[in-house]
Amino acid sequence: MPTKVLDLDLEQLPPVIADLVGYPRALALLRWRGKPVGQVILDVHHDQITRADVLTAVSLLEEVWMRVDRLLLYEILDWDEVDVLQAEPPRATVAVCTRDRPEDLHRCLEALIRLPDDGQEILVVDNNPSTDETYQVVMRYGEKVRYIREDQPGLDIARNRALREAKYELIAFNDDDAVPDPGWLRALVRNFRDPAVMCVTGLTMPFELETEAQEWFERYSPFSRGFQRKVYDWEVINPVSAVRVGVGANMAVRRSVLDLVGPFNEALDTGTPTRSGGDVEMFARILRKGYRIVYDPAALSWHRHRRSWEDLRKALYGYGVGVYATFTHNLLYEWEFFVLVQAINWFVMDQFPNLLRGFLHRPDSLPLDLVVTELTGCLAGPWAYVRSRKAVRRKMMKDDKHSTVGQRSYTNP
Amino acid sequence: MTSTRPSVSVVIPTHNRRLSLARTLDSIGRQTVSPEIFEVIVIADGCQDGTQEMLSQYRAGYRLAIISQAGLGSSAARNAGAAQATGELIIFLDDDIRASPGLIESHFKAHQKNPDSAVIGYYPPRSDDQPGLFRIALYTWWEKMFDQMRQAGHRFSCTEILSGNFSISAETFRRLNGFDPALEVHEDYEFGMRLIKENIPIIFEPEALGYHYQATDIKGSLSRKFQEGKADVILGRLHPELRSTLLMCKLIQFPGLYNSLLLTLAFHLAFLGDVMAKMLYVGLGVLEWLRLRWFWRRLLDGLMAYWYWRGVARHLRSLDEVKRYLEEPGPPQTGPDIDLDLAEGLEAAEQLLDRARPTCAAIHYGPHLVGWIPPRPGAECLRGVHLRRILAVELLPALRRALIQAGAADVFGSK
Repeated sequence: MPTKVLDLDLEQLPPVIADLVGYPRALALLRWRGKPVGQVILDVHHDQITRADVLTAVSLLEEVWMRVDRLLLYEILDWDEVDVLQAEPPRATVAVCTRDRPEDLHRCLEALIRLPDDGQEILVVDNNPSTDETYQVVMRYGEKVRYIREDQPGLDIARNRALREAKYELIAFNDDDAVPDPGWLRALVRNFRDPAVMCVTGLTMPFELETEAQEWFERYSPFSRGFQRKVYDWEVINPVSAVRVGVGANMAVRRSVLDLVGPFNEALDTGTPTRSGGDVEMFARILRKGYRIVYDPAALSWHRHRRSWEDLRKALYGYGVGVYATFTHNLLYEWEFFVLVQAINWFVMDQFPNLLRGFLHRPDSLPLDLVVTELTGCLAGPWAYVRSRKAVRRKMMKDDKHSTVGQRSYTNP
Repeated sequence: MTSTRPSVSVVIPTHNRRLSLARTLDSIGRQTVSPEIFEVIVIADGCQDGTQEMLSQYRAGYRLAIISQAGLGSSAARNAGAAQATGELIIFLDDDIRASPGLIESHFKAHQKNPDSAVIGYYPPRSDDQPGLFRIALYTWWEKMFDQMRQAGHRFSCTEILSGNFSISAETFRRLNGFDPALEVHEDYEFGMRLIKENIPIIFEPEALGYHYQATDIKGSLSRKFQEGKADVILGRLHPELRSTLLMCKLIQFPGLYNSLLLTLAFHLAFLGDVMAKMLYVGLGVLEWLRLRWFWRRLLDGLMAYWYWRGVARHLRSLDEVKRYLEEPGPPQTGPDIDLDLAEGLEAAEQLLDRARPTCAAIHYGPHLVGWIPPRPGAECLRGVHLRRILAVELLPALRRALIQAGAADVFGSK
């Protein structure tokens, strides 16, 4: 049963949201004067939701009203917890790393070129494409979008390429299957007024929940990290728990991470045997080096989850592989023994109960095949990492042999 | 070389840091301002590492004067440098800071914009070699400090007057009699206290940037804590109102067996305590190796507290003496306390604060009490720019309540 995704401003609620034929419920993002303050699930009656339905559901959400009150008082005081820093943030390059998804990319670029113009640059890194469709899409935008082709497969390779190609100091990454809100980039950028902030992540909401696969994805591993802005450093969060700070689909980093923290780990993420985890490993390294990461829900982007059940299984499998590949990296190469505690904790508190409930067919339990798929991925993770790392090293050695100046060196060019 | 009088004197005290000092001097050779407008005075304080030789051979593209003294401490060194300064503005710079090209210009402009103020420059830590958790902890500490100061409406406190990259008019510095040579550390806090009592505005200038190549390691930092313990007792004697803000006041309130054990060791069983502290210092390395950051942080804090108390114990022999010292009443808070009515508008309230410069204030909204800004020993007197920040950060729930009361009074006609 599909769920309608709505975007509602509490001050401008329409009297009736009609035409919800075929949707038994809706997931609404709640805003107040444009700023995200919460979300709520609404039941659809007679194919519509009335203003009263929304207010009834929202009235119980104390946290939402606390946030509204806070924003209102800040407005009265003409105060802002981010803008209070007396400094100009650096300028930004928006980077979209993509592979063979021309339709998604088109939708993403349509939103990007409509962002308010603060002199930002838009960059598309076409990663190991099998056709020239992506190129054709980008060419439609002429000067407005820069196209770069990176033939080595791997999301982290593409990300590093973006870091090196970017014209400006900040690089904001948006996934090709995500559509950013008009305020997205500004909300990310302003957090960089603090020079100790090396990375900012944003709120990612589902673009649509049309299929069961999308609904399960949103329920089981949502991208959202809540509606409260948070500043993380190593004293607040253990770097190996970095998954809590955000997702790579919606993040911005300083280009100086290349020098200060190192590039994205090219043995990780999509396009390599490890399938995911590159973002989380970067977050962990940033925290470990003492820098700050800010999660700011004002930086909103809408992500289209995979539609088919098969793709969902693939995504969860990849998630399991990636998490365990990152664990493996942290354990073997960073000596983070706490990873073992985490792996056990995850299994005991989350995976095993899910497995049991699925097995017993408890109501509302996660489909058993998803749980099993993810667990299988976890088991495959460590070996995938070792394999992927070996491949990266082989490639590096080959590069060194063939050219004096490596095409992709591990240091800043 | 010209004979005109320079506008700015850069005073650099140094002690056995030949290489680091050379880096600092090099960086001053690359300033955006012309070398005519400034002079540099280096005070070599008890140097035995060839600093003098380096200095005598150093080819500076600017006026460089050298004073040698026999290990009298950094306060005395800074005072001696300031005594010889001919500029109207003095910039105190530490010998482990690499100045950005705009450092002198930014200090100079900040003073032009805010005459007769004290300007603190930004000097984030950088390291070229030492990796490790301690370095990261140090970085975090400094950046948190600067992060506070960078915020609009920040109310400065004397513990934020850092003398490593700091400028003040020569006239004001001399009027305040410079740094107190009795203090080996925290002399900047003490000086800051006198600045604040004189109501001299304090400004943080992020553009006055220098990179701080601090060579401290854990051992150095622990022995500094010992010095700080000693210095705090003196600081509290010089300015009794500061006693409630000293670290010892916070530490002594920690409850629990662990803390009483720590205090007993520091005051009565120092011999045993020192041995244990040395063993636990090794434990610190083990925890770092195991990446148990949280436990590492707690243990380091414990060790810091221990050495701090050992320093305090140099002047105050027993815990009872410490308690008596802390309880001795300071002089009553000076300065008026006032009533602010937000119903008359935020701007009006800000202007009133700027006129009255009180140490504390009661805030109302019409007849409804919002809250109270308590006196904060060691902090600047209140200014208009502080108000919004205090309301937003400290008094938000109270403000909400008062506004609701006031609104309700309007709506239901009970006014």
